[in-house]
Amino acid sequence: MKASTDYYHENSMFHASATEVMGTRLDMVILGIDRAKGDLLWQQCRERLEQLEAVGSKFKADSETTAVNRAEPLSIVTVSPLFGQLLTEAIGFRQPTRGCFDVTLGSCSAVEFRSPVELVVPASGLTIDLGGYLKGRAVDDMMAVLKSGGVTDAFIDFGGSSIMGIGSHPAGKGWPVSVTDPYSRRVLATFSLRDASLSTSGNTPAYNGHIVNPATGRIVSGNRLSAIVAREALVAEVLSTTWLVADEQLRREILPQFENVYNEFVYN
Amino acid sequence: MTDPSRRSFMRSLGVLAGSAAVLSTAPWLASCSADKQAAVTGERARIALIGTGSRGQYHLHNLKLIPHSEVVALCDIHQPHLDEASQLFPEAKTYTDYHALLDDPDIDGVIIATPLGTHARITLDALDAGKHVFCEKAMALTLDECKEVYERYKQCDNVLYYCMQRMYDEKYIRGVQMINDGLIGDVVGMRCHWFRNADWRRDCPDPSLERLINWRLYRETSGGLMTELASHQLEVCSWVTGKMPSKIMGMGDIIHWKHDAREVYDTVNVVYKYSDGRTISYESLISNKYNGMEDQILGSRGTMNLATGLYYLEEDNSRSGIKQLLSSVRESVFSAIPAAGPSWRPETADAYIPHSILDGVTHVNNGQSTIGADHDGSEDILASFCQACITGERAVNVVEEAYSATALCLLGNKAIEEGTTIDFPDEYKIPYMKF
Repeated sequence: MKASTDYYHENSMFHASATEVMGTRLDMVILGIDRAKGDLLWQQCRERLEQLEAVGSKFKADSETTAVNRAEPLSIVTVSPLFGQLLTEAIGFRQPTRGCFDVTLGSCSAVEFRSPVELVVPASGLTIDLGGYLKGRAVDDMMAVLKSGGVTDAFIDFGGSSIMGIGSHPAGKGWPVSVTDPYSRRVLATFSLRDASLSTSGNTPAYNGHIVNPATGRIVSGNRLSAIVAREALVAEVLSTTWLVADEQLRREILPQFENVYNEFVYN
Repeated sequence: MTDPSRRSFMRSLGVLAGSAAVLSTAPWLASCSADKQAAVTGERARIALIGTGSRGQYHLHNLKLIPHSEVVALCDIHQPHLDEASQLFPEAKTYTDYHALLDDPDIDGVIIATPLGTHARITLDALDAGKHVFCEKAMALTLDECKEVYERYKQCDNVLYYCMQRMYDEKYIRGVQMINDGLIGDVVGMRCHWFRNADWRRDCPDPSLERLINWRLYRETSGGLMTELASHQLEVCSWVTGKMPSKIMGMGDIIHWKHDAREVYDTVNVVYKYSDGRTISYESLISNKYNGMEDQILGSRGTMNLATGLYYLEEDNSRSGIKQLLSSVRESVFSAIPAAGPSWRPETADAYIPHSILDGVTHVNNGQSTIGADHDGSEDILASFCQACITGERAVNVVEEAYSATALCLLGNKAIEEGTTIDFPDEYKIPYMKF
């Protein structure tokens, strides 16, 4: 991770920016804070990001996820308690999303823990991709850091697709953000984030073919975009991914399984 | 044990091959689909290697990681190389005459990693012997040889692959797909270069072996920088444009490594011009490595640098959103902050921002190895060939792409030698080519 910080005295505004974090970039803006406090909170957020990355990033050759993905079928891999906790939580979203959100791309039911720190690799091998889950978890954890530090107004943007607004922009209520069609650049919707998180998923002209339907193993192609606003970033992440692969009927079945979802749409 | 990193990459190639959009960009991946990979589970192609030098041994190391292959025979006229290879596969039979190897009915496919001057002869003999063939690039030393091999291939049913590994490199496949999707706008030109600072010589234990060991330096066996390096990069240009240049001009010389008896240029500059006016600017030299290796596709809205796995946009909106937010706070303006995608307000960029073709870490070949790089597609094209030895399924367009690229290399050398602008000769055009 490469990081830098700025401070705007006249607005008491702290801005931290990081690249090469979970394969993307991160910006965090905190209002009504002095520089030293901003640095301290950013340091705490950064430590949490590094912990999550060390465990869950598929982009790091030495992460635990990479080690598990490389493990031989039927071997037993010793993992950290954090890894066990994250994987268990991530797998837990499979059932309420009817299999549409599956960090193991279809092998969830075969994952078995012999103990909290011992994972048995299924006979078919294991490919874990915590991608969206990890970003959502990170944003929620950063929000917890900021709230415990007394922050009332802040904005977090993780890779442009996972965004959280805490409190309000100084000139209004909440943090207004718009979602645009990456192909036509037309504004599709505008949301106000006030202690809420927006997650978008979909293909872009630059990045097409990264979303795999776990049920079929096929790539979701074409111009499709989903957006979810929810209190928790993790729920928004899980559902925005789910909304790309689930049809309308399935989405109506899945929605009641989650609380504090404020807005949702799919654009085809 | 199969190398797990390999196994997972083959899996991702299978996923790639499941996408119709990817297949329209790289139709040769049709034979790599997950279903087809699964269909050969438990079967093994019986593979022979002809030419056990450094590149041949690189392939042997990769073959150890390919579960559906079995190395059954090795051949070389240089005993020390044959002995080294034999240590890697002690069970494989050894030959010093490739004709004898081709007579062995228990061989499905042969890999040819011999000097360029021998590619055509051995390929033709192997096809005639009923073997499937995987040959190193370039296709052949002369255009006539290329044509002969191409025509023989069209007449037979055998599988023939050329090691144009960029065609199987995920970042190239994705990058070309992005170009086809319009990310960088209209392709207006191409700039490819490959720079090293090394004499390109191999240790030669006995002067009598000089032309055998250092075959790359002599014209009877090598086309020099054009066939050994440019062939990969010119193939990418044909792949991206779907067209062939119609005019070629170039200059080249031996400017630095003058003090041995080499015959091939150590610096070349070649310009290829398409009928619509676009050009490929190609440059290679081996006495300065500052510029490294790059394959730049220049578009009206951006630049795709396929070799480094990065692209750059002329009008880059990716960073201005957060600046817009900071400004809105400072100016007390309450307006929606565009999120998720390229809606961010344009800014005047003072520097181009690199964007990764593949999210996260990727394997980038800096072009400095004279043997081969890891994860550059070589393993995957070889794995695909081994699978084809079992199924008999040809890889769509691989031979045609190799023919086209080799023709451009050889014509580049011809243009340098003649010192004039030459037209692509009609007699070497094949139906695949569009001008």
